[in-house]
This record gives sequence, C-alpha cells and structure tokens, in this order.
Amino acid sequence: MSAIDRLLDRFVPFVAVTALFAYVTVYAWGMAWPPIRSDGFSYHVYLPSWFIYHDPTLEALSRDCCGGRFPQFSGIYRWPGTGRWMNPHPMGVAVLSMPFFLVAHALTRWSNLSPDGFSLYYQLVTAAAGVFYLALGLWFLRGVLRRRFSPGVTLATLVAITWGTNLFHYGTFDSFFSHVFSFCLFAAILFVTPLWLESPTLGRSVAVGTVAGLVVLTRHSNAVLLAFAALYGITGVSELRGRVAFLRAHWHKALLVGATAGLLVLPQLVMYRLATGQWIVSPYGSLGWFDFGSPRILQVLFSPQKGLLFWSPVLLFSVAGFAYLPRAMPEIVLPLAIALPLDLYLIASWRDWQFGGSYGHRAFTDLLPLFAVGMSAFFSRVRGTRLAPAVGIAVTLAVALSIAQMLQYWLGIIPFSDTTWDLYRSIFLRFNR
Amino acid sequence: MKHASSSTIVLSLAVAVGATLIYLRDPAWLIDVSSGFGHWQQDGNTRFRWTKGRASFFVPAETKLVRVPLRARFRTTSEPPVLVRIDVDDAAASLVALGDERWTEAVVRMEPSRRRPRHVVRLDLHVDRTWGDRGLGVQVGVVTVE
Repeated sequence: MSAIDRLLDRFVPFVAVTALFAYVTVYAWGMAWPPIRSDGFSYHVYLPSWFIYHDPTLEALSRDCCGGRFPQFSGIYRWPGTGRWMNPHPMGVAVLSMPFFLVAHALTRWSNLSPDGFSLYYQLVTAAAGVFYLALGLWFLRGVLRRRFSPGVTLATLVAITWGTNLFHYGTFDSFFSHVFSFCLFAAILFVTPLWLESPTLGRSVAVGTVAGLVVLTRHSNAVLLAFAALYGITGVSELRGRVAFLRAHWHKALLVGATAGLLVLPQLVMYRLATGQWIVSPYGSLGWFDFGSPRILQVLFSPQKGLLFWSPVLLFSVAGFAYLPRAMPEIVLPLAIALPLDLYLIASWRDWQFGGSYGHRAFTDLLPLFAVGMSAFFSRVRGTRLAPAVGIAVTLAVALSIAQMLQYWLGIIPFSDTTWDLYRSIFLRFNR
Repeated sequence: MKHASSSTIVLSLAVAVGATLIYLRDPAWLIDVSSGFGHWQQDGNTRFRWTKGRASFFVPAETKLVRVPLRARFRTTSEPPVLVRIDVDDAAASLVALGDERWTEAVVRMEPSRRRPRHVVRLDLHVDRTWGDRGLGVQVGVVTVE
C-alpha cells in the first residue's frame, strides 16, 4: 500500500476528528449559539413535536416553546384558511438526525435537564449530526471517485472540496442547515446508482429508493437532481434502448425503488394535507417564490455577495474538468448536462438568490459531489503535464483562501449577506474587527 | 489475538460509556446551566434576561425558597395578564399573573418531598404568550435562594 493510499484511507476519519474539534471550538469559544438556530430551528421542530409532545401538527410545541406562536425567523406560519401551522422547511433533516436527537433526549432525562427539545444536550448532540453526515458524505464520495480516478487525484479532490468550498463550514459552524445532509445524499446517489444498475438486488433497490426519498424529503427542489440518477449511464440512443430493456426486465425492482421513495415522502405529504387540506403545496406560501423570468445566473456564480466561484474559486477547476468528463466518466455526462443547468436555473430564480445569510452560496453545497467529479477529471487530465505544478499551487492557494475566509465569517468579519466588492477589499484577509 | 483485542476495545468502550453516564447523572456544573434565556441586560439598577416561551435553570437541592423577579411587557393597556407557570422538576409549583409592567416577585417554596437525590433542582418557567418578532416571553431578574 502506497503512502497516498494510506493517506486516502485516513482522510475521512481525519475530517471527522477535525470537524468535531471545530464544532466544539465554535461553541466553546462562543462564536455562535445555539447550534440549532435560524433555518435549523424549523428543520428541528419536527423531532420534539413527534417524540416529546406527540403532536405532529406543531400546535403543542408552539404553546410550550414559544407561547403559542413561532418566532418570525423560523418562517413557520399559520396556513391561511385552515389556521394550522405550516413549516416551510421539510422533515428530511429531522429524519436523518433522529438517532442523535434520541440520544440527546435520553441524556436529558438522565441528567434532569429540561426535556423541551431545545435545552443543552438537544442543542449540542442533535446538531452534531451535521459532522456525522459530512464524514459519511465524504466516505461515499471517496468511493465514487476511486472507481474512476487514482488515489492521488481522489485525495486532492477530497481535500479541495472539503476545505476549498463551504462544505466544512456547513458540516461544523452551520451544521444543522440542510446542506451537508443533502451533500451526503447526493454522494450516496452517485455511489449506489451504478451499483443498482450493475445488479439490482433487493437490498440495493431499497437503498436507492431510501436515498432518493430522503433527497426529496430534505430539500424538495432537489427532486430535479433525481433526473441525474434516472439518466445515469445513458450516453446515446443504444444505451437509452438498453435502459428501457433493463427496466422492463427488472420492473419489480424499479417499482420497489419508487415505492420505498414514495413511502419515505408520504409522511411529509400527510403533514401538508393536515396543515392545508391539500397533498401538494408550495410550503413557502407567500414567504418565497421563484422568479423564472429573470434568473440571476451571473450573480449566483460570480458576485461578491454570494457568487459560487467568487467564494469557492477552487471550483473553477471543476468547471474546467466538465469538458474532460466524456473521456473520464462518460456515464454521467448526459445527466450532469441536464441536472446541473436545471438546478442552477432554479437557484438563480429563487426570489432571494443569496439564500439569506451564508458563507459562500449555500444552495450549491448540495451539489458538491457533482463538482468533485469534474475536479477529479481535471486533475487527472493535468497530472504529469507541465501544468501540474501550477495547478497544484493554485489549488493550495484557493484552499488556503477559503479556510481563511471561513474563519473570517466565523469571527463575524465577513457579513452574513450583501458583501460588496468595496467591503470585500477592505476586509480581505483581515482577522481583527 | 484479534478476538482478544476486539473484546478489550468493546470492554473499554462499555466502561467509558458507563463512567460517562454515572458522571452525567449529577454533574456539579449543572448549577450553571440554563436554557431559553437571552443575554443579560441592564435596565437602570436592574439586571435581567428575557425568556422565550419556556426557560429553565437550576438551584441547589437544599434550597427552601426561590424568589424569581418577573416583569411582562405589553403593547396596549387592554391586554390580559401574562401568566407564568413555574414547575419544579416537572411538577407545577407556582402560577403568577403579571397584569402590568411592574416587577413582581414569584416565591416558590421547595417542598422536601419534591427534592431528588441530586445536587440541583430544576425550575422551568412557562410563559403563556410571547412578545415581538423574536418570540420573547418575560423579563427575569436575578434569582435569589434561601
């Protein structure tokens, strides 16, 4: 086993330990509190509602935690017409962090802390789920990349994606937003889809269905990315015919995938039905909407406010690498060519295209497994060429810059939103307020 | 050999978990833990914290009497009183109605039968409605115990 192989084997445990250390440091140093805050509050409320108040309508919880009405920042509002609570944030994060919540609840009872869903252990243990899903997502991604790329390329990509983007931030500082959970689920989709296509066993069918259901349950708009799984491996008309024949031959397994996903999404639909009287609704109601007529494509990609490539310049190598995918990983070219622009259009069309407060553009954190594949293709291409040293230096600088800016954000130097070019220049690499 | 080392790891983990649980049953630092409160603020000579709809804190187990200064805020004079229920270790102990914006002292007598074999007792404040966009409950001054 080479030194690179050994480093690659230890990469995920290393990230888990450093993320846990960062998570503890953030709260021990009082950089932020509580861990379950902002959007995280609304993702979390399902758990105390189910397990402590035994009332999925959120009514009992609202009375006990919040004097009968949820705080405005939560976005939870009474649906016009029925007067019932409507949570704009779906229940996927709550489902995924349930084991952590149950441990926190047991510890709370054991230590006689307030069993209200928001006291000390609920905050610290439940929000640590983000650290776990960061590590699990990287484990899936490592498996995906190793199928096609060398250990060195895989390791370089994992380092650049973890610390050259806002991924580490969403696994630690803002660990209870949905993004690191979605990142993990996309990496899992990339991991299990080829396995299912290779041999659609019962277990793999349930696994694909579970991941697909959780993708929708965690962030509804990410359903468009399931097209990625459906189109995986199709590179031309003959493969399309082959896929149709495959699905005909294994229709009962395909049905099992759909049924598993549907079963997971069903509780969410039941909640919508209870709250609004309808099965399918826009949970944001009047709080948010898409403006499909004027998508802010340039702003979400390049602006100092939240531009993806402005705040995570290392992803420029991913974009360059997409050009090399037809040779490096042809099976994902078509799904990527459809899913990525579609999701970019959705993100850029959201009324608040900055997605509120965040480090970098948080909507793209979900898609980082796709960017990782492009980055690996680029690294593979330049490996051993005269360009390699320059690319290595550029990647190192981009990662270092991203880490520095993440720390600036944690220290409150970079604002939550609306960063202008002038402001950015005035605080560039400054660590005192 | 491998079997033996696995057993050692499992046994070590079990001992560590057991020891942690014993420690967490009644740790000394619980007395400093509170939840559901904002930061301390100063109003003249009075220090206070806003609660949310529910807030909790601990007092020493040998406490016989707890005095909790409370103040509600109102948008209009026609609003009904704000009700604050105080529970001691999840049992209702006191109900206070705050009809105006003056400070009111809630006195909670700690019944010996309610005390548990721990170093601390938990008090929870339940406010019947919240105030403003941030969901604030009532102001709580410095709690004193006897």
